[in-house]
Amino acid sequence: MKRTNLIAGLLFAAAFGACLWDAASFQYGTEFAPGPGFAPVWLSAIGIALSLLIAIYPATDAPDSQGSNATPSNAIDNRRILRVAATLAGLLVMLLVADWLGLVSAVLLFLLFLTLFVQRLSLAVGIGASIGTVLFVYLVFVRLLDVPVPSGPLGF
Amino acid sequence: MGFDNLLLGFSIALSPTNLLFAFIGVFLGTVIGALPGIGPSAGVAVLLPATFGMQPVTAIIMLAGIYYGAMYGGTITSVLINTPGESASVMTTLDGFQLALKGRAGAALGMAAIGSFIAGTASVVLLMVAAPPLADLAVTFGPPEYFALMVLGLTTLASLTGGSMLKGMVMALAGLLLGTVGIDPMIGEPRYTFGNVNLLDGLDFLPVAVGLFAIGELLFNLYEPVRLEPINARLSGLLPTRQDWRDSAGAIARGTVIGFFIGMLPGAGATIASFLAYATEKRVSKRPEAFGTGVIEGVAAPESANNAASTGALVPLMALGIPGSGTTAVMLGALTLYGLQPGPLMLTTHPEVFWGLVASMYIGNVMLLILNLPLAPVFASVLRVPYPILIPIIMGIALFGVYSVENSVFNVGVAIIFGALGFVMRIYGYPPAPLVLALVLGPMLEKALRQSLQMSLGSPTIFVMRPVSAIILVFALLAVLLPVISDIRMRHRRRALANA
Repeated sequence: MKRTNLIAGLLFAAAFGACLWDAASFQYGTEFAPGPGFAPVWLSAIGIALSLLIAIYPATDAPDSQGSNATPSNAIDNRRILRVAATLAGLLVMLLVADWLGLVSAVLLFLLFLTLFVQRLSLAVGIGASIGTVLFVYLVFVRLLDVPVPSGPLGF
Repeated sequence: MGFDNLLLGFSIALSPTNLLFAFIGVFLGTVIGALPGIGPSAGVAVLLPATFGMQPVTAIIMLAGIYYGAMYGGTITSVLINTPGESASVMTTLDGFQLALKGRAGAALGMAAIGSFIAGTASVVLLMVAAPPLADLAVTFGPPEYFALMVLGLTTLASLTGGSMLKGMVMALAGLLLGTVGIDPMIGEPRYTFGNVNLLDGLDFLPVAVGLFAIGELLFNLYEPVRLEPINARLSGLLPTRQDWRDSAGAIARGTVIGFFIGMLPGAGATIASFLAYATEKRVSKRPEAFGTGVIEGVAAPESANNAASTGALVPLMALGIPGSGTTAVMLGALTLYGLQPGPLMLTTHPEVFWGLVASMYIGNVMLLILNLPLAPVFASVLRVPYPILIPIIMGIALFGVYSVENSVFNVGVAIIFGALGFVMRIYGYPPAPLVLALVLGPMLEKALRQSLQMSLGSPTIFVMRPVSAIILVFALLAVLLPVISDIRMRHRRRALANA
């Protein structure tokens, strides 16, 4: 856990550092009151301090008999993480094609990809769950709630 | 005056539309609570867009129904498969599952339903009594007091969400920073927008909440699939025996009081309430050694407490406009989406929302009891739906729901990014609730801070010179310091033991 905390702490510190860098360009204060930069500067600064504490705090731990260095990342199963990565890639592609293919079609394609390729459900179950879900959300959001969704060449 | 308001509330809550949506809310809440991995926060966030187009009071009645319905729903999995449906039901697994193994699953679920009903109804009375005077007091609060209250909410939530307090604090800071995205409300300067027009109005809380609570959780379930293997439990005998009543009456009463008051504290919530109720029951019991082996009061106490806590959590939300948990933060966001600003003035400007909600909760608790006693086996059958099939269904609803907030594909992208973040946070033990709460509170907190400093011409002493804000800030400081001190003491003790 120590290594993970160190990496996470440093990453958070870097992110807060970037926020602080950007916040430096905001107006810090006016004559009698804090300006738009006041809160971001202080929040980022406290964030850096706490993130560094996360990074170094476990180093003060007394090492236990076994596995104190066992990190969740050591335990991460590559095949299972691939499933998550594939799902995120599918979501990203869905996002990219949603405007010209239509949101309904894009979500349907994503769900088919998710159920058939990522989850490896049987063909009937995967297609059934995907079409059933899209039909349900189409009826609720598009038909019932009149939400205007980007439509594609198929008209939805 | 109070009675007139309650009558007004009942006249609103008893309208056919509100009755229908209260029923839908508690029904869906029970199903959501019964599904491990989908907690009330995710349930409320995912289903919020489905309330668009409703009257605000109808929407909040349905969302509150989902919230307290989920508290009961979590019991079903705790008792039948030793897996809590949500964190507030963790303590119920200890004795609930043991009762199921003894063939008394029906009695455990029945007592949980009755305990939840009694606690739910009694805590609505307490809500009715506590919220209006608190709102009257809050009318006298200025920006420094509000700032202090919000700091207290964030610090207690960050330190009590479990795991590392430092991680909770970092998440709260990240949420506050995300809350500064967009055009500054006072000067009009854009902050962290990177030239993207979609960010000028700031980040919507719903895509962030759906991403962290729902998509992140679904991704985690793809990574570590939930295996549900219901035991072959008998669900007969749902009505408690006379002995069960005798054993549980005190537990329900104590659980209700503990649950309501813990629920009222910003950041504490139903999980801690159920834990404390269980611990108290064990302490006052004549047979503490039997706890964990299947005693009915071990189910009655935490179940009463978590239902009472979900009502108690509505007190700061409604009276002060300050949510104390992830779920109430989502509900605050819902109210603002409907153009309502919860807080002391809402009780006078929109009494129909508060009193309609109060009255609907009386009715909702009756509905839950009627639903849960005869239909416990039906809800248990939700567990027979293979979890992999639920993943695409919830994902599809979440994606469309997020899109429909502002009819924006950009929001879907935000939800996906926060979904990925939520997954990583889940794996490495970073709690999402402080981030969502801070995102919702962030703009209000910054406004209160800047107004306070404007009042004092830039001097931060204003927060300690005003007695109410000073007292609240002392509590906030204690919320941070007490866990640190106890952690240091534990480390010293461990080190001493290792050296011995």
